[in-house]
Amino acid sequence: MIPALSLGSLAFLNPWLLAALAALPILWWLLRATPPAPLRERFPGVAILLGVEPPEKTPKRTPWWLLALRILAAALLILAFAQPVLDPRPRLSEGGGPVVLVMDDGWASAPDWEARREAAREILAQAERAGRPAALIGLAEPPLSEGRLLVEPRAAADALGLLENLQPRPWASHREALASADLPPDSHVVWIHDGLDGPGAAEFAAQLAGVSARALGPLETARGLRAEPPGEEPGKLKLTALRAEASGPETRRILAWEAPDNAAPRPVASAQADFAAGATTASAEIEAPLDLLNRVAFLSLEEGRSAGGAALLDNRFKRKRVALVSGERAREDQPLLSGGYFLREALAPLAETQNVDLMTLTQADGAGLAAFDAVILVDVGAFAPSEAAALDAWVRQGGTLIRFAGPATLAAADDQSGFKTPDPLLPVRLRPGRRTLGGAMSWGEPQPIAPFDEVSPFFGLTPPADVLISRQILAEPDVDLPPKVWAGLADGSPLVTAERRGEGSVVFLHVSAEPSWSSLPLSGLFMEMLGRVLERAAAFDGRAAQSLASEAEALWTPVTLLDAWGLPRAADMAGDAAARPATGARLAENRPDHDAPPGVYARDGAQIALNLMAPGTSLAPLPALPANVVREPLGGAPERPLKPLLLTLALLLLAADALATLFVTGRLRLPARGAGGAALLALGLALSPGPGLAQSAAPESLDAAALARAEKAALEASFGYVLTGDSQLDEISRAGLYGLAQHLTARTSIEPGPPEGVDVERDELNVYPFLYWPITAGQEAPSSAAVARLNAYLRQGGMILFDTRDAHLAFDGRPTPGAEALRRVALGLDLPPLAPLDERHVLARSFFLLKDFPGRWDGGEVWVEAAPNAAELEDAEALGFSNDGVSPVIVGGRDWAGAWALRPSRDGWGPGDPVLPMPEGGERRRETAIRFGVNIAMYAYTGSYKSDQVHIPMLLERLGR
Amino acid sequence: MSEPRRPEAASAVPPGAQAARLRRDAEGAASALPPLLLAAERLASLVTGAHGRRRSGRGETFWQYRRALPGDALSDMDWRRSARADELYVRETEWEAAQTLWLWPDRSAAMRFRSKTAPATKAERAALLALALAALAARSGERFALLDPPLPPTSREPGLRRLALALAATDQETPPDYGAPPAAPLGRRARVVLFSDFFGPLEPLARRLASAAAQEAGGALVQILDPAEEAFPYRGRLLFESMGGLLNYEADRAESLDAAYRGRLAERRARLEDLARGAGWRLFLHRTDQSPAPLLLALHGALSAASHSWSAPR
Repeated sequence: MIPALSLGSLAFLNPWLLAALAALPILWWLLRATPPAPLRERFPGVAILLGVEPPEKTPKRTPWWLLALRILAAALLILAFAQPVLDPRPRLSEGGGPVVLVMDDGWASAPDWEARREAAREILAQAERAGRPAALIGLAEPPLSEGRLLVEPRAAADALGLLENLQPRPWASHREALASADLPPDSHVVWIHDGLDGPGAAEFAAQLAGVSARALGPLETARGLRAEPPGEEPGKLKLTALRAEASGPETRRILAWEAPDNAAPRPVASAQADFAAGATTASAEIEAPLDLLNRVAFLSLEEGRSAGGAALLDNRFKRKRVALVSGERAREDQPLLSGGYFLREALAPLAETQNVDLMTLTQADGAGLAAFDAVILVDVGAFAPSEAAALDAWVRQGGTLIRFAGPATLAAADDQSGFKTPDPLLPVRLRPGRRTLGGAMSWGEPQPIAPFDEVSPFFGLTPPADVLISRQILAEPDVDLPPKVWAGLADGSPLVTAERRGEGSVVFLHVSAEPSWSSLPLSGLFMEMLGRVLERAAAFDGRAAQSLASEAEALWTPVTLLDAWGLPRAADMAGDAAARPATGARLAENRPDHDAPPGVYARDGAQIALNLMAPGTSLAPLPALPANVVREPLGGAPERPLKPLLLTLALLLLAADALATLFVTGRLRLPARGAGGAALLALGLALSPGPGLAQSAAPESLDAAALARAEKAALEASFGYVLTGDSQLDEISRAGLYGLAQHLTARTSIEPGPPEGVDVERDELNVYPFLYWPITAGQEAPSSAAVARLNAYLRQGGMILFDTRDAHLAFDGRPTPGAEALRRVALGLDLPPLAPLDERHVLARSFFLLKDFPGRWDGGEVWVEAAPNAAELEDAEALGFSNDGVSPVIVGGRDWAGAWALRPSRDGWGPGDPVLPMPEGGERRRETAIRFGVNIAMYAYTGSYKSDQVHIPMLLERLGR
Repeated sequence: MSEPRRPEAASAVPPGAQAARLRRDAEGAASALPPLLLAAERLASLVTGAHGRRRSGRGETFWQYRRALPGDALSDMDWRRSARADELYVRETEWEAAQTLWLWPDRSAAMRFRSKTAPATKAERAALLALALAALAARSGERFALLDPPLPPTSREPGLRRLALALAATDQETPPDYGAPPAAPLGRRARVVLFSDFFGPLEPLARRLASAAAQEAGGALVQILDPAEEAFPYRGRLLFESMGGLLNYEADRAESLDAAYRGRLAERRARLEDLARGAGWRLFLHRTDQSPAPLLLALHGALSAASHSWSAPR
């Protein structure tokens, strides 16, 4: 066989055909000599054409580009039939050294295990045909404890036999074992990897640099799944799906399975995790009723199952259902100080709590109790016999009873009459009387909690030093007391005692659930302690309720083990040497491996799940392989033959050649320009943005400008004047408010900013303490939207000073044009009844004491809201409509702005010079007008405060009395 | 030669079949005829009475008697008139001899060319114009004749029909590539209109014109061209062939020949112009995509003017 010609990643299977390329120049010459045949055209005018010498003497030859096209097509054809192959698969028939087949057979190989096995089989079969020895190495095999892995090639047929027995393992591959192994000389390494990074991966890859090697990897690595630790939201199971490559968006369905004892697991809920493009994690949530969630035994990805894509749930994931029974005396007045409230709040993130009373809970022999994992009795001192029996039976079946001390418990313990039976639901006998520490009558100080010792379920928690116990109920000293104590005070007296009863347990806290006895309920420790208790509620172990770390050498037995495909199996049925107990320390590492495969481990009834995807882990793609390693996808076409592509190209070129020939001989005319133009136009239309965009932006920018203005006004507290459209009048209004602001700054603590012109149709009104609105005869009624805004402004405490500036001078008693206009404006406004302003009104006293309220004119009345009577005011206040009696409008015709108007002084000092002369009354009246303006501003800012001040002497007098 | 064949044909073919063939041919000819005739007459009707007669009077033969002058031949005497008077009278027959309109629509293969944009072949257009001129002549009582196929001078409506039939008759044998007007005894002061593309050799034409001039025959040359023959819209590599395929010319880039062709065409037209002027004729240019009516008007005007000048006694 003629060996294939290999050029890097390109190889020719029929290289001898390439010799035909040498014939191309001949083809060139031949083609060049034969021009295309001319087109025959009947044309009578040929008679006069005879003898015409062609002006352009084009050689009767094929144009060079046409020639190049044909030569290229011919070259492509030759290349195509030489069978080029991209990324050629190395032929095992070449070379004679041993073939080392290395397989990642960890959990990540499980989803496409058959494809891997097929690929391995093919390689071994090739090796067998080539007569090369082969070695098969599964990387997930437990590594040797000492020494180095010995690679000893055997006959390929033996390796084939081994392959059939190879199964993926539910833990990660150990590449580090091979990274240090000696490869036989002249060996060809084939690594069927899972595409995931892991310990030793980089080292092993580096070792491949020197040898003939290729790596087969999946197009898509295995996905991981992690169940997040239970959060605070009830009824939700939070999950995180993981992937190694940050590729495009991807959606994975996750199934939640329940695993009944005697039946196959069945899915009970599902969720969907959406990887965003470029993300390696995707979160998902399963939201379901609590009892359904509590049945979920494990979760797995729907497709591409593996041990990493499955998560076993242990008791920590099950939210406990807790019944809260309160024996406290009803504290209707202070529900927030009740123990029940503290417990509810503390348990909210941990469990589902339900308030029940003892009688309903225990009726019908405690049928209602079965729904709960734990029952908390807050200060229940006495039980009916049936209640006690039901509770006791429930506890013996596995329930956890948590009790808190309190007055009632105390009373029961204090009973010395002997008529009552001792409380049967306590882990210890109680001493009568409570112990009070740090009170006025005691010597002792309030005691802190002693550090939890290692046998305590609370081990690992740190009692804060500021948690002090001032009162407690003491346990009767007893020989069996010490093992029952979970927590004690610094002086050794027990704080939490517990007793195992049957499958369940009784826990007693010697303090009350509310903070009157201790500050424990106020601390975070309270919650953590409750959590620890509840964690063991379903699998309580009174003797060894310790955390994993507390007893590192204790052995935990696997109950359920995951196989590599993420299916849980009972450990005794797994029939695997891996089903060996693991120490607590090993489990605490949270790193499943061959000595602690992923599964559920139990010890004395407590359970813990060990999952591959521990919190904080992430998947990473395999590091880059050395350049000499040929990478191939697993399963798919390993080689890419280029023949079809080249043939297609050659055919396309030949077609182009046909067209070009037609064009050259004039048999084909280019389409008219119009067509091209139309195409360009269509393209332009397609590319141009929609016409609506630019226009729709305009109103928004306007709003933004108005908003910016309003923001400025709000920050500076400036007055507003309503723009009338008459620029002269608007200028007077502006100058008037400017002058008023100058006087306010000089005389009061109000320092307004420069006045703002306001368009009631558009601008935000609410930022102005009051609006000055000069009314002209031509004033148009505001639009209904503006009226609505004005009404809202007035209702929210705004104030408008309407000024008709005509002193109400009218003939024949008819209203003036300004008054007519004001009526139009006020038509839709929500105005109160008005009354003439007199000197008893607050406006006359809010800063200066005034008797009259002139502007430039002094005629007509000034109107303000009529003083409401007390009953009306009360009603309004009750309804929340009251403006505290502050008039929303001041109506007059005295041209106040004209009197206030100032232009900035020339030297920059002082308030400035008046703009308009006072027609009568002179500067003295202007001063009064300014004082009225100051009063208006004060009134706008302080409302009726001054009117309340009026009553102060009387109030003081009353108080003195 | 054909006489002996006829009975054979009759014996070989049943009489009914022969009649049917005759009728079919006749119908074929007739079916082509009416549209052509109609079109020609419609065209001719556009020319209204522009042919002015110099005098009113009946007949073409008699114009006037005049007194015999010395030198008049005896045979010219009108003895009957002379017998009624003392003097001898001569019967003038001048009018009768003139004004036969000879038409020659070129029927060569080149005339059958028609490009894509043209509405008709050149031959069709030539036939139409010839027939229309004949119709005009017939209306004004003049005589007309065809040079090829030969049709003796005739007049009136029946003659027009015969002319139309002759023009519509399709030739069985392949015509020559380019035509030339045949020699014919035109008679003095005849008027001749030659319709052709004049792409053929010009020597025969020059000879005919010379002889026509010698016979004092006036007339016009109408060069009918296809639009393609004037615009030369050809591109690319082409092998131009004459209609019969006798002539060919290979062009590598036809578009580059544009200017040369136009120059040649203009040159030929100048040559035709010279020839026409030399014989006292006029040259008209016509393109098949143009309306024939203006040309007809111009032709008619030119012929009328010619008849004026020629009919005036010298």
